[in-house]
Amino acid sequence: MEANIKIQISHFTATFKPRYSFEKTCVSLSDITLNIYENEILSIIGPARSGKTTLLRSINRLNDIHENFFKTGDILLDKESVYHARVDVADIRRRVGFVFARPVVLPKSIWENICYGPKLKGISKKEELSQIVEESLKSAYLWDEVKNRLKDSALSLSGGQQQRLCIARTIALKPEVIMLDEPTSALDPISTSKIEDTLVELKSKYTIILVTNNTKQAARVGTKTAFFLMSKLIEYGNTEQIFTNPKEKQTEDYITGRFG
Amino acid sequence: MISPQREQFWAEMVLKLAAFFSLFILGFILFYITWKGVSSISLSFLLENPSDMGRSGGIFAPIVSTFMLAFLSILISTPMGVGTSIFLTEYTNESRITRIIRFGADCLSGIPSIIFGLFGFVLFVIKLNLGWCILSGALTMSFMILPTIIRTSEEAIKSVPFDLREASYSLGASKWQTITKVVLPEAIPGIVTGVILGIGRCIGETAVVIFTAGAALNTPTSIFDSARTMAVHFYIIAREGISTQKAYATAFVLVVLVLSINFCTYFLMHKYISKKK
Repeated sequence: MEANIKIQISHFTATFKPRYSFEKTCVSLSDITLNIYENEILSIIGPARSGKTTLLRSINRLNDIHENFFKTGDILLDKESVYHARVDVADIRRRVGFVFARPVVLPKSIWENICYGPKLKGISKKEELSQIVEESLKSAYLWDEVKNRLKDSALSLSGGQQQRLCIARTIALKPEVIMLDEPTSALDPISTSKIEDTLVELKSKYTIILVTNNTKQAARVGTKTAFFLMSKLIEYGNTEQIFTNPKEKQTEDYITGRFG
Repeated sequence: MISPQREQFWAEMVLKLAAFFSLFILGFILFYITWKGVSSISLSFLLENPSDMGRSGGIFAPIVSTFMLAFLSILISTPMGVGTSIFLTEYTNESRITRIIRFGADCLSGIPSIIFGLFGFVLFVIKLNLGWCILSGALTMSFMILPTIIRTSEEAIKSVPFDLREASYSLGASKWQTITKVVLPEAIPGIVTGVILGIGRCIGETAVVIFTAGAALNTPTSIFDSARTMAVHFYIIAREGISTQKAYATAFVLVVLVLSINFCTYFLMHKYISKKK
């Protein structure tokens, strides 16, 4: 049985127009067509500046804050365009959670960090909030480490804990899709393996898109893998197939470490 | 040829000298004012109104006027200044308009205060028929300190990392929610610094006050009364040779006031920041 398509990207091109005449127009994504299925982990691999992050930021419309961002093509979330004029951007961002490469905790307490999103959604009851806090911290495997210090500043946590707090904060929004942009690039191996375990656990409830620089990580956790190079989608397929029997020469060169 | 070690030694000496000299001047002024002024300070000096043009009595009315004027000026200029800086940093991209507004603010801060005084006199006192009063003075003064508040708040808001804004957006916050819940709380120490600088200028200002708020010796009961601030009181009784002793005593109170405002805010800011970390 074929899984449901959660996100459908069709002929999507993202361009950053120059602000000054001496700059060149930068095409970050060119003609990407890709389907992302429900309850899967899609790993996106590729060298720096290949458009991986731009793709994530286009899905939850975070690129909108740059005035020189232009796109053609479309991205559908549950068959509805995220770029439709009547779409509420805040709603899209809640449905498609985003975890940044470096842990960005808000300079507030652990509790406040998690409640930030739910409070904006209008949840104000204390019991409801504490339930959300407990649930999301447990899903990110952080609860046992911080349950006695929820009022402490989130800045007092270690890097790995901060990143898991960011994941918990995203889970607290009750999203449908979670996108992670190189979530472990700044972390030690132990924190990394904790986060990878978390992701595999989360797969049953959410659709996950994982951008990673670490091809081994993609092989470990991804159901499907997509390889990007120079703003193009080179190859897409089951992780096993990509890593054992890639169709494209460039993919093979990249995963065997010949470049990138 | 001078050796690097020697060069290092002399550079350090010169820098040390500059630092000590600056500190010495500051200390000397404080010491001199305290020495001349502290002997005439008493409770009655603080709580009595000046009599006989300031030759005797205290400075109760000038103290009240100073507080009223400074408070009202800050009340008017802070929302305007912080609003402008939020607009400049969050709602516009670097463009011709922002450069013009910023250049305008910089020009405004370079204008001598007496020009502001004259402007306030013509506009508020004469044209709008407010007369010499605390309101005219506070309005004029708030224009004068506006550039300081705009520029310091702007720097404070700009120094909030962009990552935090993005994180807030990605959690479903709107621009305004991001500004009020993330950006401003982070920028507050910087904004408060600007406001403190503004208060300092308000308290020390004379030209604007003489032109727009007058120099009445009565205790003001409303913002429509004319009033004499401590700085103006000091200026008048010193310049007209009414009482040098009372002038020094006034100066002493003025200096203590400014210093204690600075200390208080520093202390509060420190508490605020350490609570967040």
